[in-house]
Amino acid sequence: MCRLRSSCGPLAFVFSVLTLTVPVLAGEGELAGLLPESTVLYVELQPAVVLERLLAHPVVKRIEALPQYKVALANPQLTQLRAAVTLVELRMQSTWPELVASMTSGGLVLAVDGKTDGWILLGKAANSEVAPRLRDTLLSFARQQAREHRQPDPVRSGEYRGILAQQVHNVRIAVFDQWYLATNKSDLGKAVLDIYLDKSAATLASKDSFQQAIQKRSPHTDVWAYADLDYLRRAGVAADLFSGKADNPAAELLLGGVLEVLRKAPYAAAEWSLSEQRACLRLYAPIESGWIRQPREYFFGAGLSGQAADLPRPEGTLLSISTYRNLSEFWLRAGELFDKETNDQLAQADSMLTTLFSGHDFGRDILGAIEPQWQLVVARQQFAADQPVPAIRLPAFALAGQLREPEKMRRELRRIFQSLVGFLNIVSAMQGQPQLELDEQRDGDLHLVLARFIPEADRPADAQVPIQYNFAPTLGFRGSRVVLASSPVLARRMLEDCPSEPVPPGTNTGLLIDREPLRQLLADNRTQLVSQAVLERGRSREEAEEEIDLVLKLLEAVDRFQMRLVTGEMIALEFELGFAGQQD
Amino acid sequence: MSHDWNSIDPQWAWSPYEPDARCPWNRARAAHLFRRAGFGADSQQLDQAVHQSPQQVVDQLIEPPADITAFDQSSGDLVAFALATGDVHRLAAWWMHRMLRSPFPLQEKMTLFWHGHFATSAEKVADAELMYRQNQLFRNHALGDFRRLVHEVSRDPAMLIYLDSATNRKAHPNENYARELMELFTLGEGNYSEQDVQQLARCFTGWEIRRKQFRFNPYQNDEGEKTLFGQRGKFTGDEAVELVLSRPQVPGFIVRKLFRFFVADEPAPPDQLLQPLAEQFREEDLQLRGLLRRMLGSRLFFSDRVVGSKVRSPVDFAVTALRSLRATTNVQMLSEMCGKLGQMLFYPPNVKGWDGGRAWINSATLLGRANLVRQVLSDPATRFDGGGLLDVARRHGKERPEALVDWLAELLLAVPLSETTRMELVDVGRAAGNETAFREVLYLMMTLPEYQVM
Repeated sequence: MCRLRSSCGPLAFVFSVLTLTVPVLAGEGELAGLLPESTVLYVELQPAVVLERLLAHPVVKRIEALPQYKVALANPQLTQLRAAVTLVELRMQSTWPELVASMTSGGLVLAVDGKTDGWILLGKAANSEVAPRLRDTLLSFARQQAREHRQPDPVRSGEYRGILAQQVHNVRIAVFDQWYLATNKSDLGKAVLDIYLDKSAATLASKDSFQQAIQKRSPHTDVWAYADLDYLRRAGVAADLFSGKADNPAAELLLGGVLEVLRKAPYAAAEWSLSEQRACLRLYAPIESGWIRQPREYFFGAGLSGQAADLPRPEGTLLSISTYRNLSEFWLRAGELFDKETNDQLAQADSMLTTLFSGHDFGRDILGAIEPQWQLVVARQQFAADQPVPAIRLPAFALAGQLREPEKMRRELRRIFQSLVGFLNIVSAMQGQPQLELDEQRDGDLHLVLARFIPEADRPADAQVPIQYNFAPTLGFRGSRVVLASSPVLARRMLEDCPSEPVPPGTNTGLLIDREPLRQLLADNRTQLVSQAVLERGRSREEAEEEIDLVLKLLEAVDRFQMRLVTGEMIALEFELGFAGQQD
Repeated sequence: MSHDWNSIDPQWAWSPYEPDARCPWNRARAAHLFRRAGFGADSQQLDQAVHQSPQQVVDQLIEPPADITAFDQSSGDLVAFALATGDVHRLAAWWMHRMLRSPFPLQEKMTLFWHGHFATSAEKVADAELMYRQNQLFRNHALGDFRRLVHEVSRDPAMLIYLDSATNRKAHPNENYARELMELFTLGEGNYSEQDVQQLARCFTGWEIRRKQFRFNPYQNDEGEKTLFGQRGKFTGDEAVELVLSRPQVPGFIVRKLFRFFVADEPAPPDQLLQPLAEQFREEDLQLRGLLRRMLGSRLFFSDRVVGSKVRSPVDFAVTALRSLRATTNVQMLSEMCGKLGQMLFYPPNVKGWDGGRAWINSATLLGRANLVRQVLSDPATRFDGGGLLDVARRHGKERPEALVDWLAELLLAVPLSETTRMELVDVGRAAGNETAFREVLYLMMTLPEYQVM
């Protein structure tokens, strides 16, 4: 640990020089220019820059300050690793961050080749001296270890077109000028050396799809990856992923559109970046509206025009989702989306729902009566003093939409809601479970129809109640807006002037998780979480409490998490983890 | 496991155990006591026990320890979680946790006894809270007053729901509870007549369960005169229970069941052997503590013919090894696995409870027992005194395979290992000398025929 810390001083200097002189990712395709065209997966990074950001990151500092971190560092395997690193440092007369910086100043790439089925690690060092020295040091360790175990020399040496090539176990390595490579396939290593020696033009860098992908790369990317989807589809890799079929309705609703794009897109790329404020991951691929078959138009809208509404954020929101999904289309076209078995189940559900909705066709009349912009909110619940408090406190949820014919549908939905509550009461009465009591609240044009579980008459006022007391099913209306919620408080908040966060144009789906309500929810249920850890993970009470407190502590380092599915020229799935500000 | 009890002098049998050269008080006999009167003992408990007299140890096992209140409070949080989910299987996990960790193991063992005696299944009751309340009722009276226990069980909502007596109207008296009270809970078959059943059922009319609580409905109570065991009167339900409990067969019936639970599965002992205990139980007005003190501290209990004469139930099989090695694990999984072996807590198979004895063992359950041990030992949640088995063995100076095998045998086995088996286990431990090898030794030991008895 001391060694690691003492290494950060020179590291800062090295990195400050590096970051001033080179872009975050070295050369536009310089490393790709040495890889064969048959490369199907490519990951490029600047380890020195990534490492520097990580080591100096406030979240890492917070983690380092935790007592559990120090305990984890005492792990024998980590101690062994640190000893090995120290040995290399002594032999190289350089700290490990300095070594990483000089070994990868020109970038580092991990790639998979389709032609040879091999992987390769390709890097460019700061000069032509450091790589051979490090190679010799590592090989001498391998030889020493073999001698200690009375095994033969594990290093085999040869030459390829004048370049020394060596093999240790299954790994082939070669160092040439500032470059070095390690691979598990000789043919792949030779192909790279041929490109280097012959200055061949037919490389990954010259491939159209790679050039298109790299042009879409954001300027401040720390790690960038590319996948040749055309090749993967032809090779039958992950056939399920490229089949365009989802296994079940839930997966279809979540990812059906993405699967549709993967059927046709020539490539996909990913980029990751880290700053003090956030960590971002963006997965992207090209998209054309012509690729989307009619049954999947429910996902993006005609001509990719579907746009999600803003993200609602009433008080206490821990999760907010806003999405464009034409559920009516989805339901009606289920026959083309799913296999026979799923369709049989959906047909049964359709029949039952049609009965429940008084003979209205569920797909056309009920789902079709609601606009395709849906919002879902999950929020922490607070229980009023006169309300029974459940032992396990679940968050409330609310699903919101806009009615196309509000006058007609409000009445219809209210009646169906009342029938459902009646049905639930009959079932609950047969099972000796608590009963729901119907109520209505009107406030101007805001109208709530709600049902609350009746507290058991002889239960002491301070006694905790079962889990179902988290729910007070509520249907709310205001103008054309409709909300189905598990709590009247949340339903009301959704219908009143609810704060919201706008989503950028082209957003198909947006998701936002806020740290503080989530942390509070976990804290509300701390006792139950501890009990669960004791019973199901064999923890002692003290250990379980420590674990929960650690999770709560780690959550303090996070501010919010966002996810967006955006369409336009490209389809992009963006994840962003925002970090909390520095602690005092 | 077959003995001729007839040859045993009852006075000798139930007189206090006094160690001698033939039957010395040592770690093996102390382990026997802890296994039968609880769920085994760890090495430290055995060390302490052999420095006390057997009667002192029995006394300590029978009296609530000072730290039981703190344990109960802590356990209260766990059960609140189980009840909040409404899942009886989680409640079973909670109880198994109590068996593993309670400082008063005899209380849990007796609670298990009463659960099998007054068998009530959540399969029909389908309410975790009611099952918990019944379980607490058994725990509260585990070593106390049998008379009071029977009175309270007669009003217990889970019991009355299970025996279809949640509504008992005078026009149609339900005979289920009346019959089982006499046949299974207090007197035994042949000690009552069909007329007694009908008359007793009339006494219970108007006893109802409403909103999970017992309620007396005077409008549905048959206030007429009844004839019970030849006595006439307008007996209430409580008076009728008293009449049942005053029958001379009650002490012998309960003593016989306790004998089978604590002393030996089979053969059934003659009345003559149980007579001294039955008399004491009667004289002490059906108080259980003194009866248990005498039974567990007796010459017969510590005799060679009793040690190793009972088949371990699935719960004994699973909990004893873990408790003896101060192990913690996923008790939810453990209780489910015991269920697969035929003893799912809160789900006895019928109103007679579990058959026990040899019925626990067949080719399928033997394989299931091996699977249980394998699963527990490979579960990352399983730790021994907070770490590995190797760590515990080292702390006790048992890191050599020979020492490990002897130490585990002393903690876990009621009957000695043959030298051949012992050496086979030592070889397994020696093969690698690491955590995996040590766990393999434990696995093999728990799957031996010797571990199936206690």
